[in-house]
Amino acid sequence: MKKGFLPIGLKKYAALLLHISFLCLFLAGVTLVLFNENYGRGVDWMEEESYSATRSFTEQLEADVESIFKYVQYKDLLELDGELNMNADMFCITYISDVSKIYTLGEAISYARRLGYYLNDKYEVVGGPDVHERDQAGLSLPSIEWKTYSPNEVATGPGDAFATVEELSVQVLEILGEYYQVRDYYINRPSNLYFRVSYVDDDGEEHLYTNAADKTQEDLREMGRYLFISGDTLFIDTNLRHVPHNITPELATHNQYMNDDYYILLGLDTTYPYNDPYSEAHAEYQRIREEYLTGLTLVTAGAIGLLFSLACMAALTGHVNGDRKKIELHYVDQLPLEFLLLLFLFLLWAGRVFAERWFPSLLHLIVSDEYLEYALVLCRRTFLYLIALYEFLSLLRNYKARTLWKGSVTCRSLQRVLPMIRHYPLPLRLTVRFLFYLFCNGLILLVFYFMRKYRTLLPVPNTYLLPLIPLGLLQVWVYLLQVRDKAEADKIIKGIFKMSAGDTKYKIDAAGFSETGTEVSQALNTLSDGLETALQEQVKSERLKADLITNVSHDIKTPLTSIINYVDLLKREKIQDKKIQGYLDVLDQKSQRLKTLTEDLVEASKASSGNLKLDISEIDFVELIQQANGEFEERFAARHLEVVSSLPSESLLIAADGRRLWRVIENLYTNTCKYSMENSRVYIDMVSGDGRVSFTIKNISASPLNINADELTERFVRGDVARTTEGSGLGLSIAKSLTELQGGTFNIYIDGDLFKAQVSFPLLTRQADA
Amino acid sequence: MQTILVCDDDKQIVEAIDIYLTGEGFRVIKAYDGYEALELLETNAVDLMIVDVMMPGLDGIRTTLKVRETSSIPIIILSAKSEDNDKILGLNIGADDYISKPFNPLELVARVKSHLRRYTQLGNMTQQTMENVYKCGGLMIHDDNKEVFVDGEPIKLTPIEYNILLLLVKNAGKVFSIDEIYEQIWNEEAIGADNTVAVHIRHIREKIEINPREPRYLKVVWGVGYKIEKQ
Repeated sequence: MKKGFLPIGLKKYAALLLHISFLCLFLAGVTLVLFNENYGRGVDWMEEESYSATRSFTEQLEADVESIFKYVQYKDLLELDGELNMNADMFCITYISDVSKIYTLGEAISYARRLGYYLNDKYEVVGGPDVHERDQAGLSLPSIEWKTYSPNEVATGPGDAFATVEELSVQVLEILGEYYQVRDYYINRPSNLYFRVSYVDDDGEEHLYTNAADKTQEDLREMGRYLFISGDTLFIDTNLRHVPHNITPELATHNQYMNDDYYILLGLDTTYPYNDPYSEAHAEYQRIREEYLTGLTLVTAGAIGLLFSLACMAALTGHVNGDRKKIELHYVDQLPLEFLLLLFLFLLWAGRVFAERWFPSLLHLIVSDEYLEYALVLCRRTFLYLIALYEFLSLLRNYKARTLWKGSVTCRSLQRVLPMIRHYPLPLRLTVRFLFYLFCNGLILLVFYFMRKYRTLLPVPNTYLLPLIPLGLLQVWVYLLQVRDKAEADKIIKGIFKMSAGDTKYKIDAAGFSETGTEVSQALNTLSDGLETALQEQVKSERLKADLITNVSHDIKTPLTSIINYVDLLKREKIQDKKIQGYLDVLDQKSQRLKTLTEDLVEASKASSGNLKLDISEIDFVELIQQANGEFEERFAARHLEVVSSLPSESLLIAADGRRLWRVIENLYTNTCKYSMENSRVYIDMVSGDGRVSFTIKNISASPLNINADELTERFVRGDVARTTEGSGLGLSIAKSLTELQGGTFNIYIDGDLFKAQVSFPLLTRQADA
Repeated sequence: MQTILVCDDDKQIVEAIDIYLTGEGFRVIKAYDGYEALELLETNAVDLMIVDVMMPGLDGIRTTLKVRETSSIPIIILSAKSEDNDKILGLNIGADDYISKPFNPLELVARVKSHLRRYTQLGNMTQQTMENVYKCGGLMIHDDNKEVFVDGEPIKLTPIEYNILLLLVKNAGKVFSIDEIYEQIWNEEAIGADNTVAVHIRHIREKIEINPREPRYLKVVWGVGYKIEKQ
């Protein structure tokens, strides 16, 4: 929050004030809209804009059309040359004594007036005698002969044909009232509605009924709304949105002549220059519409303002002047989370009780019965909203101060309990965890049970379902934990396999692991680091050793050269002394042996450290053995060894370094030459099968082989422990290392005096190329 | 009398070589490091040089390079380093031969003689463009009178050995398997393997090579066959 012009405290109050103001606005808007008679009609009607397009206007017009046609009907009956005709016949009755009497308008009026009837200022019949004539007369009622005001009336019920004079006089009075009403409303007084009804009788004379004799048809059509219906067409010429449904039947009904030469023309001056029911309805309509609009605006603005000020409060709450990071907690906020929630529930309950106990009587002071229900709901909800708002802000402050979870009783007790549990054995720990899980489930279900049982007490309906949400969340959480644990275990297991398979560079990616998982991964990574380092060290030391041996051998070779050369020179001196000759022979032998030894040493160290460049190509193992046999034929013969070789006639191809493989075979052959018993047989076999080709050489050792086969291939071990003969003792070791470097296997078997060496390589399967 | 320059920082080795070569009738001049050798080369008419690799000052490799700038005399490198890489390096920079220590004195002498013969006879031999004469380095076969010479020295071969050698020399560089050689020489199909060809080859090698274990001409391609190195 930037440093503003106002201190934060003031800002907070401003935000709160703003919030409350907007709340009031919102509620005012809701009230306005709710009590507007347009509520529930949506907003489409707004487009209709003017009163003259509404339904209620049409209803009013329908009523007026009825009045107008009554005027049409009664005008001819009651008027004569524009004046009221007191002598006009109204009805005729016949008494039981067959005496008929015709009542004129004047007579009917005076009869009614005598009985106490009169017309009030709204032209309604009021007053009358305390005792009605009919009751006195009993059943002897006069029958009605005819009524001029209702000429086509036909009796439909048993008593309809009989009436008292009083009843008929009242009817006449009512007709007169209606006539006066139209005259008064539309003719004598200025009206916004103009009408013009015209019939033409059989003689061709036009009967015109109008309140606008001075206006032409065109004048009427030019007013805001007009309606023209003619007898000779079905077409209705109008700009009204809804045509009064009674106008066409009324128009046809009042045509007393057998022709179609009639019309009605209505015109409404929508500027409403005169004060009449239309102008009043129009004004009322505008007022309600404006009220509704205002209400809607207030609701919208209030809602936006509420959200805005809520955001302001949320942003401001807890902060204090100066320190941006510091969050100030109120007294209440320092309660643990659980207590805060309990407090909230309590406040809600208290609010509800308070609202039910006290609000009705308080509100009665200012609100009438009519609106009491609404006012109660409004006040209760507002009250609860304010409580919720306070609670929300309190939780928010806790959240900002990061004490929401840490400050909760659950967290604190977990912090207490967890370190204790950590020292328990794993099964017990798991059991405790499972029990805790069950406890949580049970607790939530218990809360749910009680909330459901007392759900009628809850301030908001159906809130008893709320505990189901944490119940679901708990299950999802436990599921996610399990998934995470399993995923971690999977990763760790993969890592272990990789490491054990020799990938010592492999590292477990512990991102997103749990505490234990991270520890385990780190330990494993350290382990693999150690392995990797050890391996590197070993490779390095092997290489160093090989280098050392190579260098040392170079240094040995130079003096050795001189020794060999000078021994040779001495021998050339042809010394006759046998003794000296013997000494020279020893020198010669040993110096030659030293030579072989240094050469083999270099080769052995290179072969075993893998410090060799191999030239692998496709070679024929059979050919190689044939070549070797050729090379060694004379040497075997010199030792009287009979070579029994069984080689396949076809080529057996392998992938190997020909020169190095020759070294292997050469070593084996040399060994055989050296250590075989004279006059024995040497068996050389080669077989292929299972995708491998195996070469075997077998011979009988001259001296007993009191040694393990494995030891023979170790460096510096020879069949004869005495080490009298030539050779370095490295031959078999070099052969084994070289074979393995080329991807083959080298095995030695010893059975009594039988020495057997086997070299085996995978067979290359080449496509038949004839 | 042919002059041979021997250069090694180990005086006893130089002394021994001196004894052997003098015994064979060569004049030997001695140097104990590269610079000395180069100086002696300028002041003496030297026919062949034997040089050690690991010497203080100018080592054998650089000395060889320096000599090759002006002279084409045979150079034999004599070194305690016996690995393939060292040999390849030595031969690549212009040395004619590479002998690793400790060496067989007889072999050294033989090689010296061989190189000298080739070097001195090189001029007139190249001019002899006779028919039915096959040459490969110091190896020469006169097919008309069935004679074989190595570095000018006549070699005695049996008819079969001669035929095998001729086949290989005619197709110098090509590798012949045992079966192929058998079919070509005996004109029979090779059924069942025996050692005949391999033994003959070994005999040829023993006759034409100074060191049959490290042949210059008839090489064994292990597991594939035999070939005459194309020179």
